[in-house]
This record gives sequence, C-alpha cells and structure tokens, in this order.
Amino acid sequence: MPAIIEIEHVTKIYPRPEGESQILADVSFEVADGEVLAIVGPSGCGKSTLLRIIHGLIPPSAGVVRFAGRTQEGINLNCGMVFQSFALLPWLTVEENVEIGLEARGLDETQRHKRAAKYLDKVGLDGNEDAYPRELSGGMKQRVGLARALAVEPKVLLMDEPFSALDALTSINLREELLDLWADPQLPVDTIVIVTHIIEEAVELADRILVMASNPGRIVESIKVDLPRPRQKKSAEFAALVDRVFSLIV
Amino acid sequence: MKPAVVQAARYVALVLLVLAVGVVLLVGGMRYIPPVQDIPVEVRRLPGYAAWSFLRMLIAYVFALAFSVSYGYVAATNRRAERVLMPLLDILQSVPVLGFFPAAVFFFVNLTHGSRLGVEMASIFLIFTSQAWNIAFGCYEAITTIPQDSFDALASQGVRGWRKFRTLYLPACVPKLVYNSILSWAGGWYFLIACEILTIGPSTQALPGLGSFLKRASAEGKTGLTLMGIGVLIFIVVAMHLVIWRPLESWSEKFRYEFAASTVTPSRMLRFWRDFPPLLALRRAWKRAGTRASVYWARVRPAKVIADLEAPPPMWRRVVGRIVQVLSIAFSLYVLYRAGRALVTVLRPPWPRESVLIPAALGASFLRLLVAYVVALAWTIPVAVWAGTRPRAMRVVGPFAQIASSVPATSLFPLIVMFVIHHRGGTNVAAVLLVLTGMQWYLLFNLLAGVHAIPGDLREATRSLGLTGWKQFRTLTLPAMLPSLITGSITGWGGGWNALIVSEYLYFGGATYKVLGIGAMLQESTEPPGNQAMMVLSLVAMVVVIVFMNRLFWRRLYNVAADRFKIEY
Amino acid sequence: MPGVEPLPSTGISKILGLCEILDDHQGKEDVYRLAQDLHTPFGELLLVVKGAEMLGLVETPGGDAVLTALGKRVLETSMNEKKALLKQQMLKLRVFQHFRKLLENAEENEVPAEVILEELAVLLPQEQPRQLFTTLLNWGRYGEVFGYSRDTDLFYLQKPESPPAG
Repeated sequence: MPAIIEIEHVTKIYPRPEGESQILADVSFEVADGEVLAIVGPSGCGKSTLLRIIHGLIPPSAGVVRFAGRTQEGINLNCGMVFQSFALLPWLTVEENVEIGLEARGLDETQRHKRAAKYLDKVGLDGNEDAYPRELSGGMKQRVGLARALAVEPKVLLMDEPFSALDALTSINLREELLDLWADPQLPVDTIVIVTHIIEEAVELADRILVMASNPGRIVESIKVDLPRPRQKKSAEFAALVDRVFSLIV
Repeated sequence: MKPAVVQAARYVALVLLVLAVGVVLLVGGMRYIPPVQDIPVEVRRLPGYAAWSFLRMLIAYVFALAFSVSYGYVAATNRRAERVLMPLLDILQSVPVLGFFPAAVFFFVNLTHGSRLGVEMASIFLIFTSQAWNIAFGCYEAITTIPQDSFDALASQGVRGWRKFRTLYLPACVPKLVYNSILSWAGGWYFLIACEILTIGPSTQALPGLGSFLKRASAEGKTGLTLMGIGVLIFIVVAMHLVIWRPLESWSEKFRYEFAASTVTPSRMLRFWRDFPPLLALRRAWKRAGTRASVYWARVRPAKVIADLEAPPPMWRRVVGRIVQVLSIAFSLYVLYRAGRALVTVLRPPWPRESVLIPAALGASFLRLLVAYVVALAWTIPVAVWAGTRPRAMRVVGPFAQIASSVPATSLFPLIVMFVIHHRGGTNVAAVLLVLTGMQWYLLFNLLAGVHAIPGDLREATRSLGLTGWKQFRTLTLPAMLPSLITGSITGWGGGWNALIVSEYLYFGGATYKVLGIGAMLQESTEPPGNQAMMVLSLVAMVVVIVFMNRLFWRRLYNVAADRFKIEY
Repeated sequence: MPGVEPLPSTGISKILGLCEILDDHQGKEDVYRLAQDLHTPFGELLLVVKGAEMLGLVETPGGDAVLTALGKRVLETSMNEKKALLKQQMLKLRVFQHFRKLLENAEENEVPAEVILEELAVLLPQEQPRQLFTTLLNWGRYGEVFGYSRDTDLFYLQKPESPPAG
C-alpha cells in the first residue's frame, strides 16, 4: 500500500528557561494508505506531540511531513482529530459541535444539517442533537468528538488517546463501535492513526504498532499485527504480542 | 479574483457609511442639543431626567463593551501586546476616575466650543473609564483560561479568524462579561450621579439628569422630592436587575467550561426574553445573515486543504500593516509630546502656595479612609460569616447586596449631608460616611464569596474538634477568607479613593463645607478660575500614593496570604 | 404505584460495554471477578448489571452475569438496529410507559422538566429524582424515545423519524 503520510527526520525541541527540552528526536516513518497505525509508548515520549505534528497543529523544529507526496506547511485539513478530553464547546449543542467545521468548508445550512445528521447517526447519537455536552456521559461526549471529526470527511483520522478519559466498560464499548465504523465501506476515512498507552487497545485495533521510547522521544520498533479480525483477546497470540510490546516499552 | 474584490469593496463602503453617519450625528448634535442652565426641580421632569441619565449610561456602556472586548482579545492573543497592555490596564484600574473629570470637562468643552455636548461627552467618557478596565480584564482572564484543546479542536476543523472569534473567543467571554457588566453598571451609576452633581458648581453647565435633580432638590431643602428622585433611581436599578441582569446571568451559565453546580437560580425572565417575538426574529435574522455571509466568504476563499498558516502574509497586507503601525506610533508620540508640554507648562515653578499642604492633606485623607475601612470591616465581616455559611441566608443576602450595591450611594449623598452636616465636626463625619459607602460593597461581596467557598467538610471537622464560635473563626474562617479579604480591600480602597474626591468638598445649601484632604484639594482646584497646577499636583500625588500602596503593600500581602491560606487539595 | 422499578444510575455505553466483555468471556462470567478484571468498584458494576438485566440483555443466575440471546444479537447488529432493539426493550419498562403516556397526553407532547422531576419523586419516593431524570434521559435519548432541550427546559417525546440520509 502506498504511503499517505511520510514523516522524515522530524525533531521537536521546546525552549525552556532551564535549557532546551527535546521532545522528539529524528523520528521517521510512514503511514500506509488504508492502515490502522497505533503509536504506543510511556508517558512523556512525545506521542501526542507527534500526532499534532502529523496534523500540522504544531510545526516540527526540524524535518518534514509529507501528505500524499506534498510537503505539509501548516494544518492539514485532510485529517480529522479526536481528543482525549473530547474538546467540545460547552455552549454548543451536539449538532452544533459536529457542524463546527462545515461552515468553513462552504456548506450551506441544509448541507450542514444533512452531513451532521449522517454522522451523528453513524455514531449512534441520533436523538441527542439538542443535548449540551454537560448533559452527556463521557462515552456520549466522545461519540460527538468522533462524529465531528468524521463530518469533515477526512482521509485520515487521528486519535489522541481517545478512550483514556473513559471508564473501562465505556472504552470497551467505544472500541468495538470504532471497529464497526472502520469496517463500514461507506466511510470516507480509510486510514487511522491512534495514539494510546494501553497496549491491549493497540493490539486489538491496529494493523501495525509503532513503539516509542522517551528521553528523547524516538521510535524503537515497528511491529506488524497479523492477527485475524475480529481479534480474539483471550487467544495466546494476542497475549504474546502484548507481552512483546510491553517488553519493548519497559 | 473578482468576487473577492467586490466583497472587499462592499465592506469598505459599509465602513465609510458608518463613519459618515457618525460624523453627521456629531456635527448635527452639536448644534441641536440646547445648553441647559437650570435644573428645575419638578416631579413632571423626573422621567425626562431619568431618561437622560440612563441614555448616558447606555452610550458609555456600548463604547466600553466594544473597546474592552477588543482590548482583552488583543492582550490575550498577542504575546507582545500583552506585555504592554496588561501592565497599562493595571495602572489604569488604579487611577481614581473622578480625578479626571475636571480635565475631561475642560478638554471636551474646548473641543466642542463650549457646547453642552462637550460636557455630555465628558460625562460619558467618565462613565466609560469607570466601566472599561473591569470588562477588559474580565475578557483577558476568560480568553487566557480557554483550554488548549478547544483551540486545537477548532484549528483541526479549519475554523479561523472571525469565525473563531464568533465561535470560541466571544462565547468564552460571556460569563465574565455579564458579571463584570453588572459591576460596571453599578460603578457607572455611582460616577454618573456624582459627576452630574459635580457639574453644578457655581457657574458650569448643568446636565439634566437624576444626579443634578437630587442635588438641586436637596439644596432647596425639598426632602420629599429628593426621596422621590432616589426612589426613581432605585426603581431603575431594581428593574434592570429583574429584567436584564438576572436573565443574562442565567443565560451566561451556558457558556461556562466548569460544570460546577451554579448558585444562579433559573430565571423565568430569561424564558420570556427567549420567546419574545421581536428578539426571536432578530436572533434568527442575525444567525442567518452571519452564517450566510461566512458560507459565502468560505466559497469565495475556500479553506485550503493544507492551510498555509506558517507562510508570511501577502505583500500588500504587510505594507498596510506597517503603515498603520508607524502612523499609530507617530500619533501616540505626538499626543504624549503635547501632553508632556502641557504638563511642563502647568508645573513650571513657582508652585502654588497650597501645594505645601499636599502631604498633610494626603495624610488626613488616608486617616479618613482608614476609619471608613475599619467601620466597613466591622459590619461586613460578621455579615459575611453569618450569611456565607447559611445557604438560605445567602439566597436573600446575595441578591439584596447586589441590588443595594448597584444603587449609587452618591445619590444618597445629599440626604446624608443634609442630616450630618450641621453637627460639630459634621463635615469630617460626612466625609467618612460617604467614603464608607464607596468601600463597603466590594468588601462584602468578596468576603461573602470567600466564606462561601470554605469547604463544608473543613467546617465540620473544626466543629467536631470542639472549635466553635470564636475559636472556629480564629482557626478556620478568618485565615480561609484572608485572600478574599485582601482582594476586597484592594478594590474597596480603590472605591474609597474615588469616593474621597466627592466627599471632602461639599457644596450644600449655598455654602461650601470642606476638610483638609487631597480630595478637597482636587475639587477646589477645579473651581473657577481653576488652578491647573494644583489640579495636576494633587492628582499626581494621589495616583502615586495609590499605585505605591497597591504594588508594595496590597500585592505583597495578597501573595503571602494566597500562598499560605489558599485552600487547595 | 406498584411494579415500577427504579432505573439504576448508569449509562447505555457501560451497559453495552458489559455485553461486549461478557461476549469475550464466552457469554458468562462471575460478577465479582469481572469487577476485579476491570478494576471497577463492585457497587458500580452491579448497577450496570442491573441496567443490562432490566433491558433483557443479561441474566443473573447466582453470582454470574450471563449474556442473553438478545444481548448477543444487539452486539452483532448494525447501529440503527441496535438502537431499535433497545428502544423496544425500554418501552417494556413501566417507568418508560408511564412517561410516554404522560407526554402523549401533554400539549405538543412536551412538559417542563420540573413536571418530570415531580412525577419521579412521587413514583419512586425512595430514589433521587435528579439521578433518575438523568438516567431516563440518557436511555431515552439513545433509544430515541425522549428528548430534552435545555434552552426551553422542556422534556419531550421524540417523533419517529424518516430514515436518515446516507
């Protein structure tokens, strides 16, 4: 599969009063079109920063990000992002939150409404359109985040620890629904890059896992996950893979 | 290319049109507002006076809002601007507003060649300065506390520029805007009434309004009418609270990031406004126009898929930006130069004889403030401690205090003066009482909030340890409310200094009563023929003392107290 | 009123998550063991199990939670069918029927939230009306039975929709 995103020698340094802090050091890898890539690593290894550099929210200190062959300068609106903290605006309803990026893309009112309704339906939030974020449970809020990211019909979905702020049962539920969504052929999103610190989550969801280390943030290994879907979480192969990744992180 | 040029041309035309209308109004207004020399004290004129006062407040508020939101926005989003704008705001907040009134009158009256419009503009400017800094600071605080994720989410969705302002910055400011607007109106009334009263010195022009009405009525000994005037004022304040502020407070809860249980009760008035047909139609039209414009704009300049945020802006924008920058710096330098020259001429020695008394005057004023402060603490602390811990009491005391503080104490001045002035040492007592009114509400509000914020389990813990009454106060309540006490004192003393200007020099019943004090000196220097040197000297002396006290005393004290006594887990 | 069971204070996401994890455990697992596996407080998990039971997705023989045929089906269908099935189950509960009737009789099928809260206080005096309201709304919204608009403070009956676009 061709690469849709290429990261070449990306470094990120933050100037600090005590001296520079190198968050990422010479990170290079590719994201293939149509794959689910998981990035795992200990806290502080810069994986969230890396994801934001991929999106273009943060510029790299050195190195280049390429999207579909073109060098990226600034925010790449071909990507949609889902945040750990949901990042919903409290004064907008669910529907308004989902529609937020659609006006900027030139859709008129009917088109926006249709688009929002379509993706709210896909994440199961039909019936919640006029709810405000404060009335929703964490799981519902993240569904809104997901619908919002999907509503702009991006080519790549970026997820920053999307289930870390949720309780165990809700994460299980949302993970399954994400897999169902991804299997839906109608979805314009083919490629997903998900950052997580939960190894089981990475093994369950991903086609490939990038393992990172910290101080400074760098890629240690790339592991292909060949297990057949749906993934059997109790199988021996699953456990073996989890152990392998775990040993690389520690 | 063409549609974009057409769009731009339309905007420019609109701006020019607005400016043209403004100029016409100004020039026309200058000719058609008749000068008023007399303020007849008649009941039938009361509604008219009330309307004039309200109109002044409204105009000043609109300006203050527009100015402050932009100020706060720029300061919060632009690092370099922040370094200049925020310290400047700090100083502007410390300067007593009324000190500038005589200068403002002088400036505007000259500008408009002695017409009444000049005096009106001066009073509007005064109210503006009493309202703007507060609101600007609120906006700044609101914007700087927006979580980073909200910015990232919007950037990720391609929302920038005006759309970002409309969807993120402006809504995020709403809670603080509403809260600070209520405070600003309260402050505004205070100063408006005071400056309408000030204007009726021996020979300056009078502004028709509630303040001048009250002043005249009490000077003529018409107690009944004075009370009626105060009644009208109270009515307006209460009506505004019920019809405007309460619903707005209720509505502003929607914009909070924190999901803490609010103390604001849902407002039935809000539902009324929401369903009010003209407002509803207006809101719908506004929304439709807004999104239609922005969709059109998006089509004309579609968001580039890989948005070029790092690229430098196009050449013409850079050139225009640079020109604007140079012009504004040049203009500011010119203004500073003229002000500096004027100042130098005014302050050229020899200084007036009275200036020798300035230190003593400062000392006397300071003492008065201290006495008022102690008296204020004596009643606000017990009330706060009592009400802050009882939710039912809070529900009564809270709104009452809010409304009471909105009723400008300056309207009561004539009454207070009338009753106190004839006793021995009356002027001093009157001065202290008047200063007290300018201080106490700030203290009360901050103390109430501070006591209210003490976690219930801490209170229970101290009780179970046998610490009740005075002991509990000493070990828990007092230390816990120390940060709020200091914040309240800072603003309270600010209010006190302002009140000082109108409290130490009283013109009543044809006679002037004054005490030795910096406020009196300032006031006296504005009496015709006007002693510009004294005006400047006393004002500068006061500002220096205030800034000095704020920075070296109050700020340090607050940092120590916050450090030691803040309750955090 | 006899026979009205209080809704456990838990959301649909958790209930569905419970079904998922039971499916992973071959459809059956000891509840206590589950709580330990998930690092969830036992009391909280019990609420989720209760909710799943009320909706017919799970049965509780002994100390176990067992996925029913319906529960399994819910896991395997599409999003919209899942919601339709859950809606069907919700409407079998007395609480839902009671409020549905109340709303059907109301003007424009909507009532102020206070009315719902008062009804809940009368119907289930041993429970916290606010919590019941939140759960009723959470489930009701998911099943597209009930809705609530904060702006107007009105609790309403959702009208059956035409199938969504796309």
